[in-house]
Amino acid sequence: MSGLEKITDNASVSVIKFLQANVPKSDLVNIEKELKKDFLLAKKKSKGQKVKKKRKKSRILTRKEKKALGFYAIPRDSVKYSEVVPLNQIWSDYISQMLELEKLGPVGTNKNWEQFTQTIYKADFHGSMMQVVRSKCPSYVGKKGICIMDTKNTFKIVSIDNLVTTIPKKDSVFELYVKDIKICVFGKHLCVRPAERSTKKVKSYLHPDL
Amino acid sequence: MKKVQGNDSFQRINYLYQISKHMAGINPVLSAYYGNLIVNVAKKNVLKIHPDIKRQICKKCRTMLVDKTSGKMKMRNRNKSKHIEWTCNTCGVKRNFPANKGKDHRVWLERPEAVEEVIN
Repeated sequence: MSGLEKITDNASVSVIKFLQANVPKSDLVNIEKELKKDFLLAKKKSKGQKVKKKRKKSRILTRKEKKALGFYAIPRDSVKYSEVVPLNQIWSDYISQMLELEKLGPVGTNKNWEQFTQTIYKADFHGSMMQVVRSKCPSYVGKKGICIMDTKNTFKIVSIDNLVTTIPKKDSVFELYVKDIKICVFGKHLCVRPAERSTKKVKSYLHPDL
Repeated sequence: MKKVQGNDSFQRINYLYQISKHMAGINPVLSAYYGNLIVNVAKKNVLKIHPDIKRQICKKCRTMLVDKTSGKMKMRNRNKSKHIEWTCNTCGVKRNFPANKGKDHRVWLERPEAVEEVIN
């Protein structure tokens, strides 16, 4: 029943007349008002009473909170080289266990050479001692240090003079030092997020372009 | 020799756990970064983190909790039951572990009968 327009059609008028005849006198005034009332049907929702959903308190840090704690920025002089040296010791143990370096024969002669390279690309590089051998940008060449952070496109390296440098992977070639073995790694192949690297399939051949 | 599924990822988690714990007292930012990586690697490879390791990672900021350096440990009583309360120094989140005397609070994975086979 729409409220605003005047009741005109035949049936409604007769209903009103009937009501006026039968209702007690004190209620006569209310007839019109009562008829105009809206009734709540199942599908119709009232507009005013929208219940606000209570937001659940998140249990993990939001981006803002992380930023406030300084999780995104590592200042250039915040990490000391002496603090990172133990990482490198643990890493060399880890990597020699992963690659089974004791069993390794001379370069290229081993049967499972393919698998060896696959494991390198799936391993973790945090804490590795690395040096930039070649790069498109000449000022990066020769930088040496321990890797502390590994993102999709960059390595963060702490050098001996306690400086943190960011090095783009894509156009650089790195050398890793494991005890007395040198491993040459093309940064181009490593452009994956560190968490995803172990699950992603590595292309066995990529065109080198340096 | 039998091979364990996801062995290289387990080794990686083990390594990350060690370095994250090492950095906990020195640089909480890096510790949180490595802790975060542990969780993400386990998620990507659909592996379970051992409860012993998982309990040491702060639930909120994922730093490794070490008593008196990156967190505080305290015994507390509540309703006649004891529990250990860990507080993270980085983000200030509190976490409780029940520790009643004479009760076995170990989860299934930690019990000796859960060990089916040992592969070296």
